[in-house]
Amino acid sequence: MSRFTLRALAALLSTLAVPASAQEGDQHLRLGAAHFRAGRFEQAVVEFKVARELGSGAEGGWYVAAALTRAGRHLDALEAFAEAAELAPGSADALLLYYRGVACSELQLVSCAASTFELAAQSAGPKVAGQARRLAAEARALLAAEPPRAAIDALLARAAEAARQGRPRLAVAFGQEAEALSARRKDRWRATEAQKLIGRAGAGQP
Amino acid sequence: MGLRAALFVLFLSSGAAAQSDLGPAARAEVLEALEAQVPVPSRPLALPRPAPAGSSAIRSSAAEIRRRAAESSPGRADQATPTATAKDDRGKLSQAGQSAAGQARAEEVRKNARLGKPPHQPKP
Repeated sequence: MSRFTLRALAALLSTLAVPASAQEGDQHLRLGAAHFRAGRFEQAVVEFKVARELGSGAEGGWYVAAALTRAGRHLDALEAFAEAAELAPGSADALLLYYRGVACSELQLVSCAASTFELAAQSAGPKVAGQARRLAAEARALLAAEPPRAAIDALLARAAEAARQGRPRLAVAFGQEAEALSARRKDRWRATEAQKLIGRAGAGQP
Repeated sequence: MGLRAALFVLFLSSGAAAQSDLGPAARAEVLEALEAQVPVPSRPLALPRPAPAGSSAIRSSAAEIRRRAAESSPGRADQATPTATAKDDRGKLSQAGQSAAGQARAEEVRKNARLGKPPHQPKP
């Protein structure tokens, strides 16, 4: 048998050997999907996390975040969305963006909700796009008036607490929201503080 | 030459076959499930207000905890505390360890055992 033939056989055999972990990862994705469809969102969270651990792709983090949103764990969801956006930004499907918008909305992150719903509306299916446009419009209406200082204070308090709890992504999310609201005030209330907080949290400092 | 050509064709088609049932189909199922359960925010959107004195700025409100308990499967009130549930997930996954499929299977066994437990667990 010639050297070429041997090499070709070796290459052929390697393509047939599909990693067992990838197959198992997909099985857990399917289980997660079944739980999700049935409304068992906590179980879906677990399955999607296992699928992610088994190497189903970094986009699994987006599914975890969506399941956390549906399970009502909005803080965890926001954190998971931030992580997924870092690790798999290209997997930000319009539907997943919509879920992220809902998480922002539940946590009263109005600027986050507005921009995320607007992005989702651009490429989502008709049903989700319609809902996303309506929710984005509601958020924009809230942002039309100058936001009160108390809202920025509340966000910075949340950011500081998240940083103390060792949840830098949450701290960054709240800090960015505070910064976005501050930018809408003439006096730029606590904008520098928000920027410093974002910088420290992003660098992993408390 | 005939053998080489046949091997080449097999090489190309096996790559396609190995990929065809993996990944994309599972992902499509997930997205389908997400679309079927598209959420709507549970409350009107509003700007945040400072937390009451003495309470955590980011702790879930009692109402949110009760709502989550009501939304979860019947009898799963033990899932009500978000922090506790997140810790449970982290504990299970840290035990699952690195990529070894066996460890992930062990985690699955633990998960199934958890699902089989009675809904209310007395706190130690």
